[in-house]
Amino acid sequence: MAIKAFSDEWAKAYKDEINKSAVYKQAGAGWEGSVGLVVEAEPEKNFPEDKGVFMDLWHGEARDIRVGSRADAEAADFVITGPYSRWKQVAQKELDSTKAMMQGKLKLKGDLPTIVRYTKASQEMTECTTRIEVEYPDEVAAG
Amino acid sequence: MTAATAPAVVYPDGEEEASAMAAMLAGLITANVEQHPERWKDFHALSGTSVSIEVPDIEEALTLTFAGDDLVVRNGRQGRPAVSITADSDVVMALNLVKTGPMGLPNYFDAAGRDVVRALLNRKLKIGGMWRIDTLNRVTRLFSVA
Repeated sequence: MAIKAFSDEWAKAYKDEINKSAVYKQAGAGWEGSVGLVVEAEPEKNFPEDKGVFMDLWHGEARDIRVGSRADAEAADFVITGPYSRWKQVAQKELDSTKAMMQGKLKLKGDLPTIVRYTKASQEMTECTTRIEVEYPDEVAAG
Repeated sequence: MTAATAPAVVYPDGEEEASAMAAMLAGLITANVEQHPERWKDFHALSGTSVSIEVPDIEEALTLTFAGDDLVVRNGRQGRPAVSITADSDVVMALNLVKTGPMGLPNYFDAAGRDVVRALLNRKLKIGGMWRIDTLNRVTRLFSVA
């Protein structure tokens, strides 16, 4: 059954997928720090308010992932910001997150060398999102 | 004179005009030099040298010019760069993972180094000015996050 995108249930499923991934465990082995994803509102896509995803990642493990406010995500060590539809493209593998940052489609705040060092880990995190069956707000029939 | 902690990035055409990729790669070099002050030696040794990077898959190009403590960033390929790098974005990111090995030389024998050599052999990475080994090694060290 599909899970609502950026819901608490989605955060739990995402955390479980990351912790099941042997690839992530290896690629993120030395990582220390939190990552925040700011998902900007697009009311016309039935996504009316900004949301934040706060991820506490530690040495190849997701210790906590929770959905909250934009401010929650912005409190992380590394913050990646983009509109809802861009994140949906990333989650559906229509857009590579690294490429999106190089094109300015997603904005990155944080220590660049560290992010670049863990490119493979971030790619695997994207892979993990694709393994969750998600119901996106813009695909929900009105009414 | 005391060296600056990080190179100053100069955008002659205005910072708002710089592409995201230009800002990202310039930011990478400045952060690397700030975190590894010994790399100032490479940065200063390249003074007066330009390096162009073209990334066809995102249709972006930039030229970096080393000028004393400054890193001058322009969009597109400008002038006659000493070294020109052409590769898709994933290969450009892979270049940043090349480690510095013995005697300060890039290590092309570990997994990250072999990825770059493979990209060169497959023509996924094209480097103009490869005979300028010293310049290329210095640029590689400045980009390296490993």
